[in-house]
Amino acid sequence: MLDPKSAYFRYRVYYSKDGPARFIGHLDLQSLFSKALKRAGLPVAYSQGFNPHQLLSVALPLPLGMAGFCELFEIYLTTEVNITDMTKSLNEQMPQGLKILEIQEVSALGKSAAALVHAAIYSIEFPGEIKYEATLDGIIDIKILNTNCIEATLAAGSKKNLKPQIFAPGAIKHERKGLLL
Amino acid sequence: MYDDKILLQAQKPARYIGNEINMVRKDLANVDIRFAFAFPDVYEVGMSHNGLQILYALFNRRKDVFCERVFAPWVDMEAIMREQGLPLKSLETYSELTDFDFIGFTLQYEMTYTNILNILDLAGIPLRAAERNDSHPIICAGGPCAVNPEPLADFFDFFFIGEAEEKFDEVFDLYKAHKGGKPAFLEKLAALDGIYVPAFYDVAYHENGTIAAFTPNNPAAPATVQKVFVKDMNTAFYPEKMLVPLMETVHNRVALEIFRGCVRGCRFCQAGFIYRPYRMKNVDILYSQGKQLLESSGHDEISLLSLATNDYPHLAALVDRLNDSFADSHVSISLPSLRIDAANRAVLEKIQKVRKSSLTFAPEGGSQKMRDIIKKNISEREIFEGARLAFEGGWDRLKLYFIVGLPGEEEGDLEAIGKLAADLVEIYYSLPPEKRRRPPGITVSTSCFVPKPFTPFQWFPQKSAADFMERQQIVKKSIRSKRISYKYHDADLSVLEGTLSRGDRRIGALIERAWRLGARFDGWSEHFSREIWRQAFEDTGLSMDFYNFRQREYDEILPWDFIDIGVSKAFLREEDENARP
Repeated sequence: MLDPKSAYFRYRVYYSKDGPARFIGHLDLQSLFSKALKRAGLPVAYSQGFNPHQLLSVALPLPLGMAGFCELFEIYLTTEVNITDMTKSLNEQMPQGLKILEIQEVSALGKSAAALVHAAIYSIEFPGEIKYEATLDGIIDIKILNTNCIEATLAAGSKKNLKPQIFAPGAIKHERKGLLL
Repeated sequence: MYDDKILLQAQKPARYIGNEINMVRKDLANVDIRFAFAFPDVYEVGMSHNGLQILYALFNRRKDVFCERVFAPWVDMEAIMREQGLPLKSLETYSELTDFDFIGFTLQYEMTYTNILNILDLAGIPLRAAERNDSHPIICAGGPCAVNPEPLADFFDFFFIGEAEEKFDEVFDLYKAHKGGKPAFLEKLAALDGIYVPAFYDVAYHENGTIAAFTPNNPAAPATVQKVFVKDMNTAFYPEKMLVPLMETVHNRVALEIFRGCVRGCRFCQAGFIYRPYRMKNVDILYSQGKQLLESSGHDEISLLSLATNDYPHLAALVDRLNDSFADSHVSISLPSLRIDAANRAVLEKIQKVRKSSLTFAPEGGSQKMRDIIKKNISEREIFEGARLAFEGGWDRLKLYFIVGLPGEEEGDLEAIGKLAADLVEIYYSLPPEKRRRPPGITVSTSCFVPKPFTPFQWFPQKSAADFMERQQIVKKSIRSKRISYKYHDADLSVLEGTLSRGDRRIGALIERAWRLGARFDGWSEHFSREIWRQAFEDTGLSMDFYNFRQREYDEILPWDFIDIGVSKAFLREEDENARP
């Protein structure tokens, strides 16, 4: 059977989430985008069936409180729109802290954005003093990056070693923000 | 904004950041009056309240007024604030409440009264009006519970009795003319209809505790305070834009008020008396208001609000117009107080094409005798007919609401509740099998009757908590089918609500004592503490027997008699006498 989505137009929307918007949870963010699309008057496509919902997917939720500078969601529209106009009208509907950076039209039937993302860059600020040694060529060496285990406590209470999933740990010294991992 | 470290410790930080869609921003240098609208409950509840949306837009439509919002911080946030010495702040500009000209509370429910004191305290403002001076904001209140403002009299500078769309501009204009001089402002204000300044009245008591006299002590104050109300709902102010929260709230939808007041006059229902007269809006106005709000909010649900939607004569026409325009954009219409009958089944079918959620019936009384006493004009035949229509239409979940502890109620009337629910189950099974998808589910809910001011039952002794619990057990025993489940309200909470709702000025001490002992969010069962309130009664020497469990005499001066709500005491008495079998 033909995927009904093939009749629609898919847009990949890159946005940043900072300031007060960092405290908007993932489900609430989805509902925020959904209402913003309606207010902007965009021809949003809906799923078929008894309980139709917008064909909107917000990839890779950010934890509450965390800022993101290259986040994305995807939306299907029933007609093709001008990307510049869409960016402008969506930005007019964003609360403080959310900004639409770029929109790309992508093939309606390709993999979802969430499936295409291999990795993300995280930067962690350490506001206080932290002990580290800078080598002569400026590479910062801190213990945490050399250990074999970076332990994280999951929501369920269990612990997990994150180290195997980290591709390229590194640290830089930031003028204003102190040390960035 | 509060610091990240603070917000990340709080359960739902979005409660405290503001920044919602359609939030009003103004330059403080260009406004004359700063008004903090205070909702004494948690953010999700306050933001679901349509009155907040109306007043926020009404006040902010004036260039010279900036209305901001503040809600009761949830208990976790309060603990953090107290530990770190942080003051409560407004959501629009994160200002301290002491920076405002007015703090206006809405009184929706008696069990939020301790939260009012908590908000004032977290703002660093003395609780009692007598302890405040010109440097403090003016503390005022309105809303349905303000029809008996006396329990809160000591804490407020003035109360607004009635509908703010009608009169509040005059309050602002007077304030501008008397800025900085609170006594002169309050004197001028007291002369307006709808205004009650408690400090301008003295109360004398008889030896038995009842009121001997309630008299103005200031020539500016009238002996009777007249309720103000909107004369024509079609021309009354209604918001074009609404605040759209950034988090899930109780109701996340456009609310369209289709009429105000009620023609029914059910004797237990305070709203039915205090919101009189019945004033409806026409379909054109409603359609354009609904359209504006849907487009400016992006909501996918619009709810048609009123006290009894069946009484709106143009319901089908309104639903058709909204459906024609918005069904394609996936907007659903909800009718929270619609009773299904032959006349409106088609309407209901139309709006609930998709999801057959449960339907609600509110017979209130289980037996015809009880329904006659409370003047709930619905017969058993009509209830059965409504249920049959609902079942045939595919709804197999029904919720039934009843009140227990009403005047004249006997064991047989309580047993009738279980019988009625069982009859509905039987009606379901009398349908041909192809019409029954699954076994039906009937939920019976009983609330405890709380006699309220300005109702024919305002003189009636409320039942004790122990008595209510016995009544709940009788109802429970009368339910035998597995298809029927039973829920009932907390009896202790209901008798406290009764005490606060019919209290006089002396009850203020009880509320303050309970707050000092730690009472907060009393309407939330997980926070309500019987022990705190028992202690508060003991410490203040006040008793529920006096305020709640005695039959008042018709000639007794009631604490709220000085307010003219538009319905005479003689009429209420007549209705009370008519209720007796």
